[in-house]
Amino acid sequence: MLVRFRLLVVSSMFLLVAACCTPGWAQPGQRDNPLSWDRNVRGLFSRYCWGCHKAEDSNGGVDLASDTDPRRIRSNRDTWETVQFVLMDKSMPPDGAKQPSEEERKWMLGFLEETLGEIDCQTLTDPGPPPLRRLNRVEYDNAIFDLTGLDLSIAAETFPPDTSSYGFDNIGAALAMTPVQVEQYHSAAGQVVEALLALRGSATGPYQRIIGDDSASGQQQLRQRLQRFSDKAFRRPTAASWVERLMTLYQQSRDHGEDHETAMGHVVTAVLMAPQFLLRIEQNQPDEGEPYRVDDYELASRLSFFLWSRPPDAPLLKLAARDKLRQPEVLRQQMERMLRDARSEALVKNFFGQWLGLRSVLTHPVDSDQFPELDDRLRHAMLAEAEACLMEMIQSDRPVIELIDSDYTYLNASLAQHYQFSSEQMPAQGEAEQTLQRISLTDRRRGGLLTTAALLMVQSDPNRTNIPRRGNYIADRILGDPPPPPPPDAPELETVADGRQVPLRERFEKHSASPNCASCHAKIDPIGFALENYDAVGRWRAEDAGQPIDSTGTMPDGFELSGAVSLKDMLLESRQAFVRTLAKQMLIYALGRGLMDADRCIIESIVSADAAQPLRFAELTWIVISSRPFLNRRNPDY
Amino acid sequence: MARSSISRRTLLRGAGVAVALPWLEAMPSVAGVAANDSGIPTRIAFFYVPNGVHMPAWKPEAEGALTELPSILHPLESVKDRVVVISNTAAAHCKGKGGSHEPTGGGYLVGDKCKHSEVPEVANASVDQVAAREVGWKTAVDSLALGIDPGSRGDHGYSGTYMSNISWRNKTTPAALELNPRHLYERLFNSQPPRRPDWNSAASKPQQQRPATPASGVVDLVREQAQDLQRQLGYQDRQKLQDYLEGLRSVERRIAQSESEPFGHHADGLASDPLAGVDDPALPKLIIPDGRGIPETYEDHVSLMLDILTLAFQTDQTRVATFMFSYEKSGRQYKEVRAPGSHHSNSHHNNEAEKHAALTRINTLHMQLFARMLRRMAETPEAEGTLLDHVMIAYGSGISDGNKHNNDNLPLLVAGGGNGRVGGGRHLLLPEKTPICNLYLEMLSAVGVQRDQFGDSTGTLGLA
Repeated sequence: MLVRFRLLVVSSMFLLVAACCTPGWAQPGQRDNPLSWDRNVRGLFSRYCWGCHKAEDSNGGVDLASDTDPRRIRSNRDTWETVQFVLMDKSMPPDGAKQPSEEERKWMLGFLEETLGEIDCQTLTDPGPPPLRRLNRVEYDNAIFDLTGLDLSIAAETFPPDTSSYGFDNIGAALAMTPVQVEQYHSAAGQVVEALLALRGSATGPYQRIIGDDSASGQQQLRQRLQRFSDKAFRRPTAASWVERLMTLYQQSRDHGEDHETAMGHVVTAVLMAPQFLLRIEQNQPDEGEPYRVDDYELASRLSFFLWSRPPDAPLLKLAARDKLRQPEVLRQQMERMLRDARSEALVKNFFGQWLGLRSVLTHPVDSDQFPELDDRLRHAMLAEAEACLMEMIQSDRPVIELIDSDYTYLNASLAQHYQFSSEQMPAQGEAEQTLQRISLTDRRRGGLLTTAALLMVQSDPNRTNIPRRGNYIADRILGDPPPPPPPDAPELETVADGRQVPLRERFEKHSASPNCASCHAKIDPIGFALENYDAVGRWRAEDAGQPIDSTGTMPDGFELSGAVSLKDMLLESRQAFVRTLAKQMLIYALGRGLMDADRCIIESIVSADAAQPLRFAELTWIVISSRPFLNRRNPDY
Repeated sequence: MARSSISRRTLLRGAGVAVALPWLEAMPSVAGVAANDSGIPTRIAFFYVPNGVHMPAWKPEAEGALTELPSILHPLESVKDRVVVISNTAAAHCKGKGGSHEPTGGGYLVGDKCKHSEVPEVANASVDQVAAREVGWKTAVDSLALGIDPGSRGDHGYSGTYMSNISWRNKTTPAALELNPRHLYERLFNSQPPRRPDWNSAASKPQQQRPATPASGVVDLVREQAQDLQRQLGYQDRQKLQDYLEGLRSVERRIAQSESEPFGHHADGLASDPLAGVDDPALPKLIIPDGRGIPETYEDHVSLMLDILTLAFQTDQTRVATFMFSYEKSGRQYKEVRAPGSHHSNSHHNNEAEKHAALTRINTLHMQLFARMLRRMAETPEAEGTLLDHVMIAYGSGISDGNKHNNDNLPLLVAGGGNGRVGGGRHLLLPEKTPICNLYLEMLSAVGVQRDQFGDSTGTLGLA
């Protein structure tokens, strides 16, 4: 497979030179430069591409004619990198269309390389605009739990679903606030207070810690209790003026004749409705024109919400109080501690769960007539298998490539039976039957996430496999190179007139033979065919519609696929693309925003790290955490 | 759904020690005036079905009076004199670059194109929210955005938000989608029993300033914090705080409204018996399941949501709503109507008769549930007529043929009399590609929002 993006780290000296002179395309001496946009390359794109890719309604929604100069091409980088990619693998122009000569293709590619390739990691230091992130549903419930010790799951049960961008529900710019949500916060605060008061009478625990007895509430004690509660809720020391306001609120309530509990109820409600609790607020430095380091409390929150989807715990806050967390060795130690901790399950549920689509395993519609054996127990086992593999990667710091291929998995008896494993491969029988056990694998048809029943199922239809969907999934989520969506007026499949049973493969082949569809399906269908041995609930099968499965196919670059094992081989060969995709996804998730040019430097350093030595999970996470945008912020644009 | 008695005490369980907050901000003094302000207001709603519809089983053959109904519309038989089927509309704004389902859902009610981006941004507030801005202050809740399924993740560079939401409060904020009947009910009716409004009494008077209580201090305090914070934020984040402050007002207002009933147009004030009025035979009986509060079957879930919507309209808790039968590009499986395979796969029918039939059954199921609500509204007396006479409800999809993703020749109908604005019982055959925004413009006018244009509208449709 080809690499989509090559980074040239340009020395600042070179950049100075480049900056003082107008770039190549406008220079008089460039008259004969075949890479000149105005003199040559623009004409080539016009001749070979604009036929289909001009104006808004163009094929695949890709309009190449509106970027009229190299500067615009650079600012529309994603599109043009795709162009680079399809020119390289020759999937464009499509068969049957006018083809550029080899030399012309080289010129077009050379121009794009020159135009897109230059990123200077020394000068690109913008950590990006600082988004104000609202706690999402998971984070809210975790924050309430950490603060009160009460596992109420209010948000999961009652809050409206969070909006998703880039595939994640923790993206600052997309996490809106609406009156419905604020009303829900208000009602949730009421429920928390109610739950706290229900514990009255206990000598220790949340009631004593937060509400406390009236008799034990001298001014000073009360002030201390409110300070502690606010500090914890706001994830940093709170201003004394805030605590005084809470004291006043408490006193007003008492002056109104309300009892201690009611007054404390108001106070707790105020804290839980405060923007400092609901939003992750970071302090501006108004006099600072350049990016600056976030303070240690802010760093603790960034770290903790990233790895645990929850507020920082006491050890993190203690280090922050002493300004120690920013020290690289301390930060690394804390990261390692957090990854080993059970709370890193949040990465499995929220990062991997959303990136890979595991969140739908329990709800994905499956036709129960066709697959009666798929009960809730089996679904849970499927999900547990995938999650246990991911948990091992995180906690035992395994190489990330094991997502693609590994020689172990986690099964219980139901799942082993689903996988038709022989008795010696089965987990121990008896009481532990439904408990997951780690199983060593020798047969590569299982092992790695992509051949788990969970992922094979969620990329299927309820009653059959879905070849292009599975192919598209791997092209998009694993290799980061999704084909464009199907054209609006996709031509129809030939109807099978004689009523005979036809394997799905044959029907898709007919569809994909049509020239409008061929160029994209050529990239994804072979991947889907290679997985045809797994049915819609991820079981191995040798036949479809009474005929043997044909799991062979050829990728546009010539790679011959034949079944799942060869697909794994292909993905292992494409590990750069895989690592790059993983890095991008993790960076988006960690920063809570879309990526910018400067972020490519981080991604490429992750890819280089993998090239030097097979990348392990902790190292990947560390490169993200120690990156400039993770540690720094700048003032917002007013 | 059965209509037996309910455990109302469970159902009406209050919000614990949630504090009651008085009305602090003055009511907006200017507002659009509903067509018949002292009388019964028109309520509007927009119903959305994803993945298009099997048009041959939807579109009536002839223009004019609705006689023989095509099979998908068949459930409407008993209320067809309150229905106008509208053919040949188009939603050009649903067409997007690099995706088909995504911009369709997000743009449907907006009337202009969505930005092709992972961070959602539409052109402006959607038609329902434009209406809510103007008339929403008159009711406890300015509008409802209801649905059944949580949204889906995005694709092709579009945020999932676009497929999951049709209602937009502003360019970047979709109205939060409410899916859980129990929580919806609790939010709407709090610990108060539903009551019928007395339309004959004078319209709401401006609320009076009430003395500060400790509970109001809570909101004051957090509002101060937000205002302090707002000063140091960038433009985009200030908007977020603005939304938060608006939410605080909404918290105050809803509770204040229930406290200040004597000043409102609702028949009785704060009843001494919190369960009084619940046995009003004119109010629908609701059964809200225990546990999470979501019925097990799709059909029951939809019916319950629509019952609550009916109740909300009937009791004048809100006058504006949207409802999504599922998110755009929905992969829901409708086994109950023998439609194996996902809805989206069935909509890519490839002209196979079997898939046409399955898709038709899915479309018909949605229509049955819709028709059930209309019948219920038709059975609900209101003034001289029924609730159905005073609503105007659009029902349709942003896609016509799910196999082609075309955004013209859309399935669209309007139900309800719209306070005399809609003459039902006919099939309106418009010139091809008439903008669907023409209907939106007419619906805005129905709630008293006078505009020259909405989206790409070229006029109104003349539904009377």
